[in-house]
Amino acid sequence: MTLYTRGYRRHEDGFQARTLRFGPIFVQGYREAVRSKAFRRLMSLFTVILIVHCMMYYFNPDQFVRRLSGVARPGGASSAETLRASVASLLGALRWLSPLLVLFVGSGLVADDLRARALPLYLVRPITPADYWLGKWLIPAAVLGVAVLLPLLVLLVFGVMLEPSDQVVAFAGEQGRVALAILAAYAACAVAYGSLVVLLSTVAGRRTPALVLGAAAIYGAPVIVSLALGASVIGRHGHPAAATTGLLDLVKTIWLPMDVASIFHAVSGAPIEPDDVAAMPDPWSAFGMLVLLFLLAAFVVIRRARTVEVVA
Amino acid sequence: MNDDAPSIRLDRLSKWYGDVLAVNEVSAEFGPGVTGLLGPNGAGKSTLLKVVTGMLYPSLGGVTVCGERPFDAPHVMRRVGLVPEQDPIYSGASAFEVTAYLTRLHGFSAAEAAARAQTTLERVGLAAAMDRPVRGYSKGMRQRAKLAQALAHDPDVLILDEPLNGMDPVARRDVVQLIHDLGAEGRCVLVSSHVLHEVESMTKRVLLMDHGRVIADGTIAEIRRDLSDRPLTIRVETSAPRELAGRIVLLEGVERVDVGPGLVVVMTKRPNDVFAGLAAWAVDDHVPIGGYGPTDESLEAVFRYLTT
Repeated sequence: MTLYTRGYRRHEDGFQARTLRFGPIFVQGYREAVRSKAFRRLMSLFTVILIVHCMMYYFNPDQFVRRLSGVARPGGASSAETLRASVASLLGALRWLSPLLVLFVGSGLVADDLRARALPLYLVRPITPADYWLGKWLIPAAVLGVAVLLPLLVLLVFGVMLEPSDQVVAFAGEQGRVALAILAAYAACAVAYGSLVVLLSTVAGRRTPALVLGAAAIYGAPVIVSLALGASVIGRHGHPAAATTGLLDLVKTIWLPMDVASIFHAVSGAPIEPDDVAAMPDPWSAFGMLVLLFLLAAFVVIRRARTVEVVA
Repeated sequence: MNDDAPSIRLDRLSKWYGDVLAVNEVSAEFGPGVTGLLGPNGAGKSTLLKVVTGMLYPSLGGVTVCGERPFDAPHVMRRVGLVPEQDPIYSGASAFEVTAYLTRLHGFSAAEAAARAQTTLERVGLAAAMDRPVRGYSKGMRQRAKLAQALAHDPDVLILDEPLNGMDPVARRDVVQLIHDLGAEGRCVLVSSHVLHEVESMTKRVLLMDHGRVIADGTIAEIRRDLSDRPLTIRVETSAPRELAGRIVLLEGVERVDVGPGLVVVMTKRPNDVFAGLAAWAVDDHVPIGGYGPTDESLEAVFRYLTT
């Protein structure tokens, strides 16, 4: 028989004394993550996608705008528009593939510790369950920094550098909103995928089930959203795009890549791909969902870290 | 005892989980040196260690480690090292990596943690294997790796939960010697075990637990002396066992005498009378007595007495 009980730790140290305790957990975990084959292989794929986008932007930038708006602008789109559209296109690919990377490198983050019954080794040291949570959550967040934030910024800089030399500085200054949108999209990815993978790693307690559950959550959500949209169309006899409020909007938020896209488009002002219009949640709903997921994951991991196996 | 000295104090400590009473009003004090925490599975040893290491909050009573309550002041854990029963984490990593990593959690820089990890792994006898993945280690090597991660930050208080599990005799001897040395250095070392002879080889001071209660606290000899109403078994080597048995059986307090080839085993409530008689017969009557001594001052026997 195994009994579990809630451990107890109150913390009297000041904020300053606590802030860096998660550091070694994060550094070690990140090192392990980037050493993995999954990281190296998927990062190779991400690099290829980035190079393709850079080449497409270099040779035929208007195609991004055409794809997003569905029509070609008379006289072509402005450089700012094409760059924004190309960044949106790259994010469109990364927001689907990056969860896979996070799941591969992060499914064992907590599960491996649980399986090895290693939590006491952490908690008998001057770190807290909250330090443990933060250290673990930062690992996928940092991996996404390399996988999502870096390629988007590289494309943005590449687009700026292609401008005539006398206009580079002015053009770069105009890209503040896109840069902000990239940061927002990265933060959304980190919160969504990082929280999900750490949450599932804790709940599943094993690496493989966590990976399978995560893949189901990320890639199975579109099915549920599509069914909800279909039901809404049948119920309203109208266009699904009209059904953007209420319960349906909440259902849409479970599709995490679409939450990321919604936040990016809200900040950047980039046009939304026609196929995504119906399924994209309201940005505030998406934001709320990500905050909820973050808090839930933090609660579950901290609670589990405080749970001590007492009789086995 | 100075509050800042390496010490653990338990003051009427109780811990229960729902209806299960795991630790029942335990009061004890452990200072520098090695103390054995003994008891069968389910005696409450592990719960006690979890309270001492701040992982659990006591239901009643108090505990202080080096003068501070461990669950209120995580910084006191910098002075505590724990060897848990479980295997080290990151089994794909080397013992050096694991030790350095866990040492960093105490707040050491990467370079300092690495230096400490190397020194400690050498001390526990893993110098040659420290760069190999832990997953390829034998059980005994893993135990030593666990010991290293607990020692690398130079703790004042060391908690060892079943530290000799799975070790071969040579490794066992080395680790017992190491634990001796750690106690002799002035650290407060608390060793939990359900294997009595293991603890007996490390220390004479023990805390015996059963069903959450402390049933004895002191040296093994002290505990045995306190059990004066219990018979002591004495083994006597002699070439005239029948003659000697005939003399012994006449003494007061003797409950049983067994005769074997070259051997007499006596169970008595008055052992001093037997010892005096043996000395007198050997000197005055030239009874051939090779040697004698109590057989059940062993921890096993003491524990058996106390729990039955």
